[in-house]
Amino acid sequence: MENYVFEIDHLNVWIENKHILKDICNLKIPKNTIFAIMGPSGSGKSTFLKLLNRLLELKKNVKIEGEIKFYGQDIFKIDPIRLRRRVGIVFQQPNPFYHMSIFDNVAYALKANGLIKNKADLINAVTEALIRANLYDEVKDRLNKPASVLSGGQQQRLVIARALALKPEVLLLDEPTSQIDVVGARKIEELLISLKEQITIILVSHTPQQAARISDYVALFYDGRLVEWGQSENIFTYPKNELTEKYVAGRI
Amino acid sequence: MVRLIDLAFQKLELILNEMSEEALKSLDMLAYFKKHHTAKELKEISDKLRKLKEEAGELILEILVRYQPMATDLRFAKSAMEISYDLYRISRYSYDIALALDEANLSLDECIDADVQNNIEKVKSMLNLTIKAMLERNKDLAIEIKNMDQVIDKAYKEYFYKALVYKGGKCSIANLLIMRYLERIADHCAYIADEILFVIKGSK
Amino acid sequence: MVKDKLIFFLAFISTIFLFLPFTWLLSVLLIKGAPVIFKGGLEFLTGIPPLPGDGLGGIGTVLEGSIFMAIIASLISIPISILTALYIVMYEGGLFAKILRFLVDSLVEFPTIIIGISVFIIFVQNLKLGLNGISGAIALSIIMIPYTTIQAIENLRQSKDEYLEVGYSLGLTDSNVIKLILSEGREGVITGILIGIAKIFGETAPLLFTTVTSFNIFLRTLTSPITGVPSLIFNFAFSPYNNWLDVAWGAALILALTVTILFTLARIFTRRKL
Repeated sequence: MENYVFEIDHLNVWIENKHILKDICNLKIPKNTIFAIMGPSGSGKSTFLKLLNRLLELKKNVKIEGEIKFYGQDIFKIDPIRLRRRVGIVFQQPNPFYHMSIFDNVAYALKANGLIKNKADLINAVTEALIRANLYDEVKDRLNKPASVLSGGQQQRLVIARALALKPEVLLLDEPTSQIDVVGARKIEELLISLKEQITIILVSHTPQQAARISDYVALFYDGRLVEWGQSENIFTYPKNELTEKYVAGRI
Repeated sequence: MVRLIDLAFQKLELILNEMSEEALKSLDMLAYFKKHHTAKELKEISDKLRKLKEEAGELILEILVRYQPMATDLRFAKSAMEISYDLYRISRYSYDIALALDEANLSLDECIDADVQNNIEKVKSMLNLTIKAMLERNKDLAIEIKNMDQVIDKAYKEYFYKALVYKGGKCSIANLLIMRYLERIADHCAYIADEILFVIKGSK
Repeated sequence: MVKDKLIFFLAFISTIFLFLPFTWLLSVLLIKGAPVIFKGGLEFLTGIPPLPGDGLGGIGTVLEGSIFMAIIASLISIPISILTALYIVMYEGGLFAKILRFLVDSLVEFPTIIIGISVFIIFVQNLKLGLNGISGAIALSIIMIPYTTIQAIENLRQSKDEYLEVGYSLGLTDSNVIKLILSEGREGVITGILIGIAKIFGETAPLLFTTVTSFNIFLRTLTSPITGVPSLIFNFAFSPYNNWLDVAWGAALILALTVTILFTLARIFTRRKL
């Protein structure tokens, strides 16, 4: 079971009595891959993503049934704070802490969580995270400038660095490039590819083309249901399900 | 709404249709072979198909770049590339047959035997079916074509062994050559059938 | 387009109408107040108000009173406002949060004179606090709290929308998430505080019930019988003495300038957030 990061079965989610995710069965997310989730808006893909690090439970009136295993362990039995340090998330809109410097943005979680107390260690950890997020060279001379001086694409990579600072095993990304210009988006895609050697990436993608470019596995969500999932090259050339065919070919 | 990619595919299908018609015509002309004259005309057709094949290839590249097709669209784009090549090869083999006869200074009706005549008709109807299957994306027809190909293969083999022992001079060589090229044409029909199945089912 | 031009013309006209009273007000204040301040010099800001028919003196006592009351009122209001706003934002949708929000909204619209009377009855009479700066500050803080709270709510909500999930996603504990939300929303909260102070600085009605009407005492103890600039203006402006009228104009200009400066600062803080 070591090969799967998440295993999801018989999953149902209701938010305020609305059935958002409907019987997601037998979905397994393999380790060290980029797993893309695509689907039209309102298909429940963001909800699904937030479920994986238990952010969804912050909302009111959420009812969850079914099974989600993280390395074989029931996630609902893991302390959410610990789980979230192992499963990071990045959202659509770049949301760095605008009041903090670039350095502090990355250092913040480490400091606030009391994970690193020594100044030298902190500098090392921040530098490493910025390097991993492929941002270090662009910001190394202005680490004390506020995050707002960065471009949208850089801000998004800063947010990724902020998440990477906690050394998560999984990184969830919710349409991370939809608000970013083409060049910035390309850099983020390249970054994700380079990251998958160390961590597992689950990406909600706003276009099938992006999912096709960078993902190893892909799942289609439609109207709260899991339509089909599998290896990307198969799904994009020989989808088994008619709905997948229609979605990727742009007939919906 | 018509998808933009569908407009491009319509153009592509127009090219493929024209190529099919020309390929059929080339086989038809073989059946009414006239010395010199026919070989020249068949060369013209073959050259035209070669150009159309290039045109189709360019259009397909454009489709790939512009629309980044996926699923059936992607498979069709890839198959159209192969099919255009197959159709070109069919016309080219027709020309090869004409060329062989021409250089041996033979006309078809001088020495053609019943088996060859029969095979020409078979391959013609096979190409007809292939074009139909392509237009309709018809799975059953495609499978039928593949079966027909096996029959033609078998007929060629039998004819070949017969020719080994039969000493009939020029004509028998010409006939064998024609049988050989017909077998190749049937192969290309079968390839097209494969492509049709690939578009439909996503596997061969 | 004729229609576009017409709309532009109408907008232009209404802008002028909006500016007219404002510029008129400002010119009158400047014409009447500025000479007084120049004549009095620094002493106008530090001196004791004059006796009737006497010289110009100054408004030092009431200015000190206003500042003192603003400080005390802020000390009371700021923590209450922030905590209330935080509660309303974090428990949005809950019954108690809804009630709190309703109370805050109603308090904004509440006539300040009634707040003055209530503080007089409860604090001055029953709790025997007396007519002084503390009573005045209590009344003013009740006026300030809703302004500051409403402003804080808007900004903390925005900050919460942006950073609640981010905070939790970084594995922060509840209290750290709240710290983060406060820290990222702080400029809006400061704006609210400045607007609140500007608002209470010019309030007159509550002072009439909670402070004295003698203007010549400096602050010695916390409960010295003092009052603020608005109540001096209110009393002097209706007097028949020319020198008192002059002092009232000067004080009015000082008050207007202070409030304008506070609002400008508030604007600057709001803008910095964007």
